[in-house]
Amino acid sequence: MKKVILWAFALLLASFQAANAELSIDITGARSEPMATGLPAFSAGGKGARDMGDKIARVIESDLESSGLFRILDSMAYLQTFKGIGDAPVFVDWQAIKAEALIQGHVDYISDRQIRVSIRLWDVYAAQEMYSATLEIDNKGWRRAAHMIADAVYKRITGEEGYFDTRIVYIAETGSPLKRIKRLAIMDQDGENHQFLTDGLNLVLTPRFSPNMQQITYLSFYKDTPRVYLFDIETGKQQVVGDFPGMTFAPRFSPDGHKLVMSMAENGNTDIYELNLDTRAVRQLTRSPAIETSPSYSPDGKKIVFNSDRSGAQQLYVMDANGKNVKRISFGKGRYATPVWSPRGDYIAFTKMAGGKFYIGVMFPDGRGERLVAEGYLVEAPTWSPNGRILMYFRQEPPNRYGIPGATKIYAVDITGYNERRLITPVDASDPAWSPLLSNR
Amino acid sequence: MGLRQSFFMRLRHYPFLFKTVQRAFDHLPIVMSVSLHALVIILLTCDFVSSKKSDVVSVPMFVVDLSKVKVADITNLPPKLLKTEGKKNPSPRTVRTSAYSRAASKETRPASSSASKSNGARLENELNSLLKNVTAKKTEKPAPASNSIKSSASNGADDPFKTLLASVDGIKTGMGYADEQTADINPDEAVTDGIEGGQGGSYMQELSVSEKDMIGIKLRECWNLDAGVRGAQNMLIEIRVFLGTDGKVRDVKILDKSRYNKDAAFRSVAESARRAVYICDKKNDESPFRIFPKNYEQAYDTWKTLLLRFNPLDGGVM
Repeated sequence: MKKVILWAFALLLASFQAANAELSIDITGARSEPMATGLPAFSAGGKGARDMGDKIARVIESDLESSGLFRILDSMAYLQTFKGIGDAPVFVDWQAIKAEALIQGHVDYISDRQIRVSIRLWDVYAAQEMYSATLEIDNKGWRRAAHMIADAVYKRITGEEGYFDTRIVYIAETGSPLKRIKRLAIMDQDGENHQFLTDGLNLVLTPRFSPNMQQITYLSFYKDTPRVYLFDIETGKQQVVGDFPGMTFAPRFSPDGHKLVMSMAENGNTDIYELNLDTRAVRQLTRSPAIETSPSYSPDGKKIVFNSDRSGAQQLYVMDANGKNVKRISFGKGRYATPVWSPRGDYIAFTKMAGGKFYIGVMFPDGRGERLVAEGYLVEAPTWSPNGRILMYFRQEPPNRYGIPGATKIYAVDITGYNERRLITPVDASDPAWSPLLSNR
Repeated sequence: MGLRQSFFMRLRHYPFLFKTVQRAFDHLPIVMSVSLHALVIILLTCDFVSSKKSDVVSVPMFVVDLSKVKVADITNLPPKLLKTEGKKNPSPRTVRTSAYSRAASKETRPASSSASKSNGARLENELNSLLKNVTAKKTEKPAPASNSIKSSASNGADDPFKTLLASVDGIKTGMGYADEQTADINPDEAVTDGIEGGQGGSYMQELSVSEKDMIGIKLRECWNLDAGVRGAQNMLIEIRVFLGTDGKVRDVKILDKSRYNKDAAFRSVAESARRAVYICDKKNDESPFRIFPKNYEQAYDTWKTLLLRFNPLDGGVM
């Protein structure tokens, strides 16, 4: 009897639900195009402010467009000009030119040296303000102000941290192929504010930022012995890290900045070691007769990805930060090297060598979902933007017919594999490393 | 009694069946009661039977039938004719038109109505005043004739039959009358009074699969999503869209507000989906929502809100 009642009740519920179901429609998939954005001239309090506003707007435009996610609409098409930050947008005018977002800005001089920049970001179709902010900054820092505004817009639209207010450290290469001079150099992520950090007397390789951006760790050949060094950006001082019996290389900071993980070669065997920067204590993490190198921490500091040829060919492995639970994650054809864990934790980037070509690729930390995002005669050494969206690496062109090696250049590509672009550097460039977001320091 | 006995006698040869049937008979009153109640509730919720009868608007149709006046060709004007004639009006409504003319014939008016034009104008006023009094009701079929007569009589008409004849005369003089009404009626008012309340979901045929697909494809074309948003492939964005009777978007609501406020990536994808709805809506005749007033205008109740479920699965490369 109970069953009968239950059945009747279930039937009743089902019919009730069916009768009241709202008409629903599924939309699966979307197109993925840069977001059409209006960026009209910033309004300004005075002529000097107007020039400043133009400069800032151009940097914002360049930043956003370089991400591949925004397309700044041609200003000739704009139907509205803004006279002040309080002016409300005429949304139909912006809809008419198919702008999805609108950036409105205003610049004032609040003293001889101080500027105030206000911006408002609008969702043109929903007719809503998405974000507004005011920034007061030394006028010499206008470029940073522009990067910070671009970051804010990027974050509000994409939901991810921006990466425009960042710097790149890399190896600047000059001289003939036989007598190559490699110097440490640093610049803004858009190539501006370039400067050399070392004099080029000693060969330097694989620079890496510390999480607080105070230091850079790198490999330098001093008296023909490769050693890991620390370079203090503010003081310009450099020092050898630890006193190791063998060659040390491929250093990288832990996410908390208190440890370094690196490789050491001794008696023909290479293993991974961890150095505590506070206590200078050293711990050996791998113990294998094979070559283990290129260690990189996961963003939570609990795992390390590295490459090893213990299976016969170079493959990627993941282990706990204490060296336990080693698991192989790459099983594709070819060799895998220079793994780097994404700052957002979802991917591991790597260099792959297969069929006489080099590739930059990404895979999930468990080895699934391998995807190649760049290929070439030589592409190598991926580094992540701090938000985990962009990969930067260097590319070397094939040698010319006289056997002279091709130029090396830095490129960046979105992890979707789209929007590859070259970063302009004054000289040949290799081994880039992306800093964390400056404003998060 | 005899029948029942012989039934049981036969069942005795099948002990299991016999026991089951006997048990069922033991609980017969409860079983009957539960199933009947359930049946009534199901029928009510599914709108098979309306608990609210007698839509005043539909009453006069039967008055017309009862009288020997030949009005069938007017009141049963094929929907197509009315639609094309009412083209100027973005949403001509055939049911509304016939309801209006029915209501018109029901309305009490002076018997003499010579000029059809002035008659039409007065009719319209009267219709409007009448429709304002019509309460929102859902009916599936017209009310029985007996009811209609009663209700029209109790409406305080002096001589409903005569006025009906008069109005029908007016109609007969010009076939364009019904169409003229269609064109003149304010669609919003008509929908509020006539369709939203009166005709409701009963006229809604099931949206065909191809129509649903078409809407989905059009929205997909309007949806511009940053393919690299973290976790986008696992997101399902539910959005409720509020449509006007003309199929234009009145409002858009993202449903999971708590996640919208907490999760920046979700907010980004949800906002892109909301933008897609607005962008599609701005395409006017190409808007995916325009199919509703076009093909299902009487069923506004069923499409005035839509639940859109956006899934980036195919679009994102992640």
